[in-house]
Amino acid sequence: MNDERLLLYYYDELDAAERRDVAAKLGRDEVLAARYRALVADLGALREAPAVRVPDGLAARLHAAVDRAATLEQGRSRGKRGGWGHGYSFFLGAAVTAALALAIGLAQREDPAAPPSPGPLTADADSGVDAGDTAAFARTMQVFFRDSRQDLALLPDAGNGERSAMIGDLIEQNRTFARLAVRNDADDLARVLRAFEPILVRLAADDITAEESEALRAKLAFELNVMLTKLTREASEFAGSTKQETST
Amino acid sequence: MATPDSTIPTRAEFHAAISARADRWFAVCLRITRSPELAEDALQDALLAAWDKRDQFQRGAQLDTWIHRIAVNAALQLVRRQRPGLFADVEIDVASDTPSPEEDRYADELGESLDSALVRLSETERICFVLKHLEQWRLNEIADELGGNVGTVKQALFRAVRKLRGAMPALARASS
Repeated sequence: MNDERLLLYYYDELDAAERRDVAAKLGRDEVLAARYRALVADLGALREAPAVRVPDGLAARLHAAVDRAATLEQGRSRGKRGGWGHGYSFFLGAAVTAALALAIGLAQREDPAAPPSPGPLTADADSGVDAGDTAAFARTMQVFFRDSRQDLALLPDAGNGERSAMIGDLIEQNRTFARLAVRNDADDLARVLRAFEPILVRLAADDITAEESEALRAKLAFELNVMLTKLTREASEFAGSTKQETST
Repeated sequence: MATPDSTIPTRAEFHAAISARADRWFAVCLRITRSPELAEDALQDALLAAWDKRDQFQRGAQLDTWIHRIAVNAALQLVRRQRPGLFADVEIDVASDTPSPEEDRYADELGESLDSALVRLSETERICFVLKHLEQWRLNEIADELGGNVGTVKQALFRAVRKLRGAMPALARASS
């Protein structure tokens, strides 16, 4: 009997008849039983895995993530109760849908053989831009960054009831695009987007001063500009190299 | 989540679960992804998903176990995104499934330990071993999750155990 069969016996992955057969053989074959005991000992040792080194501050970041999610949820329910949010959410959703449609449309114009777009698109990382479509993805992110910059500039002053729910929507879109970035293997970009979230949460806080709010808005606008510049440069380099390849 | 419901886990319960189990969740995500950054990403995604779906949590189950399972799935999703089609073949191409130079360097940094031995397994071998041996999933659950078949999972598991047992004298020397 080979070790593979003994291993399946150990893991209780044999059917009842096979299991009885192995048990009977182990009962009458001392050499086999010794082999099985050695296997069990080794597997036991492999289960006692040493503790891995956990990054500093991991638990604090996880606690903060739950707090942010809870705050965001409260902001959303406040917005729903106030009844203001539908127009804004509709506007934001439509803008994002348009961005994705534009990105897909542009990508298809570049590839005449591509099939038509299947139905309406939404800002959902699970159904948005296909992974691997680098140009469409970059354009989508550019539109998102531009819209976010504009929305931040239009944000009402602290103390306005609409503010926290508007920021809640921004956070939700930010998360959606972070997931989209992960889907497109842009892990660094996803991390940058995640890093925006605590700043947005702070912006939504009731106790924020006008000075702090302005400073955070300026910081976010700066980061968005950096990302836009980077994406624009990469897109033009990508287009340049594609043109070169086509002309040679 | 419009009305408070005693069957839905509270924010305090989430905080308690994080305090008690964050290290374990991170460890399993790390063993699946082989990258501390991806492991933390998976864990953040898992926690947010758990929070958003907490009304689906069944009272009577353990909240930390439920989150643990979501974290494992999140880590697997990240690995699949990084290497699409990894588990698609019935016959695994071992040559194309070996650790990269970066992963080898990471293994060297870890020294002689179970985790360094795990890093030196192929992706498929490691994930099958972690899910079966450390997470105690059934073979058919692993096959379903990875989109392969039970035979493929068995073969990957056999190779993983053979390689790990081969590395055990070194592990024993390092721990003594």
